[in-house]
Amino acid sequence: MNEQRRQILDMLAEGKITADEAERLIAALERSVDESPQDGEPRRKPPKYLRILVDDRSEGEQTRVNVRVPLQLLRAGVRLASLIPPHALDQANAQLQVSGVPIDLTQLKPEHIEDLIEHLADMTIEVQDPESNVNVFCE
Amino acid sequence: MMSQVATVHVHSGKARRIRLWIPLLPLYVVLSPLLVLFVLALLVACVMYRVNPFRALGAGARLLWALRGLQVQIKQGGTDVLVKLT
Repeated sequence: MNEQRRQILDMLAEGKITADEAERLIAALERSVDESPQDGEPRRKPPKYLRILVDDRSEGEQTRVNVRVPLQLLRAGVRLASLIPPHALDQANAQLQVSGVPIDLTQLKPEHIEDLIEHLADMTIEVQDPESNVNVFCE
Repeated sequence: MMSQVATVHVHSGKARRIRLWIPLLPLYVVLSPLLVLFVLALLVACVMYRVNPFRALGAGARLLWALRGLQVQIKQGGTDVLVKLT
């Protein structure tokens, strides 16, 4: 855990993230420590929001994008997707395969969404290059 | 519950700061005639594609409900724009 905290502080020192973002990341890290498993059973709350932070310096001017998407929207989207006729799903699956995304949309059921959201809490995506920095995580 | 207020903050380095709290209920009332047309079109589409119209309406309403809490903030140079649904 100290390693992750050090990584955040390094990113702050290098100017890749702002002090606010560092504070949020450290708070998220501390929450994950507080909610760590006891007696082998995880007791953490499911995440409520998907956060997307983009910091771009590619055109000389700094651009920051901060998006917070309610995960309720994901639940609603999956319910909406369950209404798509089977032949349309087959076509979408075929196109996804062609694009190199082997996801079977027919297996995406509303009753599985809670498990999916629970596991999204563990997900953190960080993409860094010299001119931009993208963080995606759930909170 | 559907979003009740849209918050828009615009802050430009040189210009003054603009803060708007837009109540959405009047907007829903104004748009309600369009909603009737939308529901009719949805019913026709549901019949064409053999989808249960009640489930489709429920899913659409749930999607609208789920927008509450959405927040988008963009900062570029001295300009900062924040849009939030609460």
